[in-house]
Amino acid sequence: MTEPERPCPFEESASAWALEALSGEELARFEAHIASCERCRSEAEAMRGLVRRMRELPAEAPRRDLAGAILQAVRAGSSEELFLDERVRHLRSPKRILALCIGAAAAACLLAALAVWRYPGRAEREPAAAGASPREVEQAVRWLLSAQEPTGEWDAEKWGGQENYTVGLTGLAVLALVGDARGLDRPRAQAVARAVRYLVSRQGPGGRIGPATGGVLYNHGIATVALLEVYGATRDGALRPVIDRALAHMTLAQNEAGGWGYGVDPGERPNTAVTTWQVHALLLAGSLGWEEAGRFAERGLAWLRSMLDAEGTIGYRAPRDFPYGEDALAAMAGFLLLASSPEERAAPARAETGDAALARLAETIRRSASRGRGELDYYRSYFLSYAIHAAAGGEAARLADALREPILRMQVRSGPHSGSWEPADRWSLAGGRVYATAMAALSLQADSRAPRLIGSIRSSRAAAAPGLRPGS
Amino acid sequence: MYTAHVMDLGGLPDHELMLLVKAYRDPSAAPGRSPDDSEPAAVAEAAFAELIRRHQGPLLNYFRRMGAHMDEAEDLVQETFLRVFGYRSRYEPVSKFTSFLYVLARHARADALRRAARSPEPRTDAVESAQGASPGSRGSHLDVQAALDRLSETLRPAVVLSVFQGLSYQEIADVLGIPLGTVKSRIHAGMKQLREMLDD
Repeated sequence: MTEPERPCPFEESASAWALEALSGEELARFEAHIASCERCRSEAEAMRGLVRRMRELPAEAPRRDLAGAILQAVRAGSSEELFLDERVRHLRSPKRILALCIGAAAAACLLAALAVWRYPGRAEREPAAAGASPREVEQAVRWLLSAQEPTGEWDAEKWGGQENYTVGLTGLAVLALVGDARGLDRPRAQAVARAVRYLVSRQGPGGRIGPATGGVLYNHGIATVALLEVYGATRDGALRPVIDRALAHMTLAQNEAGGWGYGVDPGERPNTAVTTWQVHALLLAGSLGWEEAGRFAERGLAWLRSMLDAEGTIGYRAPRDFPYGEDALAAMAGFLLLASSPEERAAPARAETGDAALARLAETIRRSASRGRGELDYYRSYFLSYAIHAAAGGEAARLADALREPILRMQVRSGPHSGSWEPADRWSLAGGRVYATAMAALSLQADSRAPRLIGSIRSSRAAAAPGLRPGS
Repeated sequence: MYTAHVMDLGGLPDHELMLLVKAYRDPSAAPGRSPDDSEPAAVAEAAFAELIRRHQGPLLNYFRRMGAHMDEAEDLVQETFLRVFGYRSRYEPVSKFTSFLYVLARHARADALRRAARSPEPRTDAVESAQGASPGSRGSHLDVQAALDRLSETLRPAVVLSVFQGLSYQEIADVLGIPLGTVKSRIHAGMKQLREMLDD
């Protein structure tokens, strides 16, 4: 009986050699190898013959110079119109889910992947982290499942929010359902698969997920984070092209300074809230193998860093710009800035010798969290719950308890909305009950979810070129 | 002046031409503009025309190798350049212009495929191509194209961008948004499949 032939580690270099794509060092290594490996030498020669044969295909030229027609279209303003028409057609078509066959195909295998991912039974789950609130999270999940439309989305308007945020809210609901990514039961797996199919169906020709106006990059950023989380848990390759396009849109919308505003107009002024979601998505993408995403994430982090002042606060559109208060801004940018920095740089003991502004930012976050019962603000609570894991070290558990208590008090315990959270904070007019419930459930899952996210962010940055790291 | 600018443009590298295009502001859209405003616009247009003339041939061949018939390929070239213009403000000269161009070309083609999937009209060129793909008729150019047509959508773009468009593996990784190692394995897998098809 003969042993099956083992593939040679140099095998893939044969075509790269034939295409003259090997770098100097790789070339020297490969040529030294083929001097003694007959199989690779013959493979490389065959590949060179193939390349030669392929390149014999005659090159063609346009039947007329296309420059004139293109310039004419540009002068008529049709390049901008082109995109607008696409968007309008896209939004209005009643059969768009069917029409987006590529997107639908991407989501078609997802349920199978989610089914493999989910745990076979509750008994096999790891014990919940200390201080976690599994019962309350389960109730939130049940409400979210009951509120999902058959077509996969959570309808913002139906639950007291603004219609244009349906995509972003669907993304938040997916994040809450995926939770700590340790497994899903069947109803949750099915709901996530439906939601992903919906999000994919809302992807426009340029990669944007969601409507063309009204919080464009809020919707797009949150939806992209949600798709990346699902991809991270399932590794479903069918989602990759969808995420490729979403990331392409995101990077094209990045402002010259590195931040993002609400819309894609290059004149749009960037702000911390929208930028946070895009940087989160790009860092997550970087940790999942989208190497190019790291470069754009670095620019985003540099922009967030530029909002930090010596007092350890973060501005909204400029340093010391606090139209909605200081706490939430420090927490949202602080989570990313601290999670993406080596822990010791922001340690309190290093306030003088380490990165003083970052250490003060960590102190701002600890102070905000220890206040606990402030004005109800699910958005602030969500970001603080995560930021303390990056900022508070050994104090994180105590601060998590302080943050959790006011959230738990607001959960609806009976009636038709049982398990949800009252849309009672200042952002609820936009997000409604779905926002309140998803944000509260995500806050309660921070103990298990935050360390995973911080790990992803650090691994993403570790993969980035060292020369590209601002402030680290 | 305009003529002088145009005469200079032919010697500029792609990224400098694209930066001139990026600086374009529609003179008719700016109320209170000065009479001089039309000159930068004309220079930007001339720079854009130069870029189109440099890249329309290679881009047409890219779409042809990716399976488009001639009419489709010419439309896609136009569509891609309109996108280049539409996205000019997002261009950063940190990567090669061709990376920017082929990202937009890929998007234009994906959108066209999506639209074609909605249309019941058969693509005659694709039918002819499939008929020409019968093994055994070795040596004709149609064989190579027919073999390319049989490659999957996962493998074909990487192979075409490398073999025909001459992009480096890193540029292909940028265009396709995939890791460098994946580019290498996709190209090798694609080339192996092509060899098997053509050697049959």
